Amino acid sequence: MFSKNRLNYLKYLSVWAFALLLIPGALWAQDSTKTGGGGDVAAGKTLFDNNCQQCHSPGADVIVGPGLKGIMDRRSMEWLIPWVKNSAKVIASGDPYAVKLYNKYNKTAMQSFSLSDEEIKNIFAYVQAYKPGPTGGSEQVDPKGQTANTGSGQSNYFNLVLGVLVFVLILILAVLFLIISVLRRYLNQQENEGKLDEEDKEILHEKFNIGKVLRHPALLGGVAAIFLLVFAQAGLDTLLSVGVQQGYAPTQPIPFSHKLHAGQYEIGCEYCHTGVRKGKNAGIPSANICMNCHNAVKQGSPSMQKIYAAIENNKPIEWVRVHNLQDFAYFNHSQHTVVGGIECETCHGEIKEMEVVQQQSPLTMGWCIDCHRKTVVQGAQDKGDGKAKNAYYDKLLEIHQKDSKKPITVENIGGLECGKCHY
Amino acid sequence: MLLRSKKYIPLMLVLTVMVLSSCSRNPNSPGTEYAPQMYVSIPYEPYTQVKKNPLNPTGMNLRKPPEGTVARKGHYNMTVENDKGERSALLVYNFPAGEEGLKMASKVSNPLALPKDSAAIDKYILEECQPLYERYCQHCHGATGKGDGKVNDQYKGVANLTAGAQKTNTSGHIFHVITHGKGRMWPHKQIVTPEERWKIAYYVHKLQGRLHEAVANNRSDKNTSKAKADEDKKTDSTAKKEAKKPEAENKGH
Repeated sequence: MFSKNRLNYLKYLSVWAFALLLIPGALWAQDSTKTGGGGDVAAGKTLFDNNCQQCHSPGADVIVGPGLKGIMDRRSMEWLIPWVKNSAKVIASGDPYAVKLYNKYNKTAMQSFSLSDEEIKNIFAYVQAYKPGPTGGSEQVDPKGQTANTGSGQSNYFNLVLGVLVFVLILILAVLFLIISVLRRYLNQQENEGKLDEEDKEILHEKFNIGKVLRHPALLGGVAAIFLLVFAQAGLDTLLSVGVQQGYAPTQPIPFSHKLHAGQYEIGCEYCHTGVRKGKNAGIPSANICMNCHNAVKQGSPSMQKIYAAIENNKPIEWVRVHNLQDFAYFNHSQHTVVGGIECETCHGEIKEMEVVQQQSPLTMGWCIDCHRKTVVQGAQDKGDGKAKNAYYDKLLEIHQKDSKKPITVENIGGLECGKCHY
Repeated sequence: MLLRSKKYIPLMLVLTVMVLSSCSRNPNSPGTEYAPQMYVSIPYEPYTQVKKNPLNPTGMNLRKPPEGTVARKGHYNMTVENDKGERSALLVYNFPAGEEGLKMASKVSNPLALPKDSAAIDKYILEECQPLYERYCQHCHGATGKGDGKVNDQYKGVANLTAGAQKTNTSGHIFHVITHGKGRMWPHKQIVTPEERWKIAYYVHKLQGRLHEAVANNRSDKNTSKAKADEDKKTDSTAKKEAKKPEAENKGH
């Protein structure tokens, strides 16, 4: 009885499984018949990507204009073709649907496209065949994943080598212990047989006296010396770190991640810090630069609400300044980025890896001077390395190279003068 | 007793080292300052501020310029000189936002003069134009202009500059879109100066494989006074007339 029931159940299941297997195939078959008459889907996709995707989604979501999902149910091809070719004309003709659409989307007119009827049909064939999911994004994600994989692969390799090393060391230790115990046993045996003299016995029975070792003046002196040195070092470090804010990483009012923006999304430094090549300060972006993307991205997050509130109330966000160069030293960003051709990372560290920005460089005078001593002045002829090109140094370099083989550094052109920075 | 206290010496040593090394700095504290009154500027500095500024409504030293202020000297060039010493405007404020302005701007060709030979043009594009595109455009529009920048993962609807309707855009069109935005793209006039926008337009033409057209346009542009053949050239010359106005202001630049 039971077994028969079970058999039935299995039959029932298999029928359903078979049916489920058929469904996607049937759907696909339906799609292909439906679109086969309308136009070429692949050609439509290219056309759509090049002309339409910046304003329309083939799915249901609104980008600038309406999502095109189900467009063929809403509108006929006879209406769509003139609309794509010249939407302004359709609106002007007083078509009620067109006027309604125009008003609904903030009176933003769709631009006119000089596409043929056939091309427009292809586009809508693609829109109809579009299924959300596998398309888009995957290509861009892949390389990242690969690099991450190779990175972890390297660290795995390192761990393996480390493990083998530790194992070998432990093995050596074990062998040494074994040798000691064998030797000891041999000596004990010799002693029992009375073959050892007094001196040997003394060595064999020597006990390690911890107290005696500890009381030894050499050890005490050594310990005291190390103690003093450590304290002196700590004291000196504390004194030298007065006014040096290296490692300062304050919590900001909005947890802006440079790792995400500059690292993952590869937004250049100058996109937000617009002054970095134009003036003394690199500048903190105003909220309107955030809005270039965040008018659509992550609108719901509480941090974004702070930015929206800042714009609405005209109350700027109070970021905490990380790099506080003392006022008695003058520093100009454009001099270093444009003339010096220095990359941002040279002084600010791997910003692209920083979740919270911290001061990487000490910003001490020694640090400035060190770089000024080492940096070679670039003229227009030193090109090819992506460095700055300063044609106005060319004559100077030419004259200099006549008499000297040594390169000319920032120090030589007054980079160490007191008045350069302190005035 | 003595022995015992001495026994503890290594322990104490270890403890001290531990305590000292654990005293790492609080990331939120800037550390000790010796003479703060010398660190902070007495005059108002835009980005250095320790207390609220009572004179400004936001409490910040930094203030927004009054509405309608035009940045002129020291900030960026309003006009550009060609190799004959003629100045033409960079068309900073000429066209309004929106469809109408875009149509007007599209007829304008690039006022920046390109060098003579093709090697020099390549150098100019590489050194002057490409870095600007990389700084301001690449993260959305992608290195090749196909609209496949990394930001596109989050911010949908980035235009492919090298295909479809965008492929044939003029320099003036690109200039207008950077200035006022279009579709999903917001205005970038606060970030990119007019001169930079024209340079970016050249680089976009290069990505489109249409730089030779732009070069040809640029050449014919210089001869507009002689030959007013087609309509495009006419609009260029009107643009030039407008250009004469700011010239006087910028003489002392």
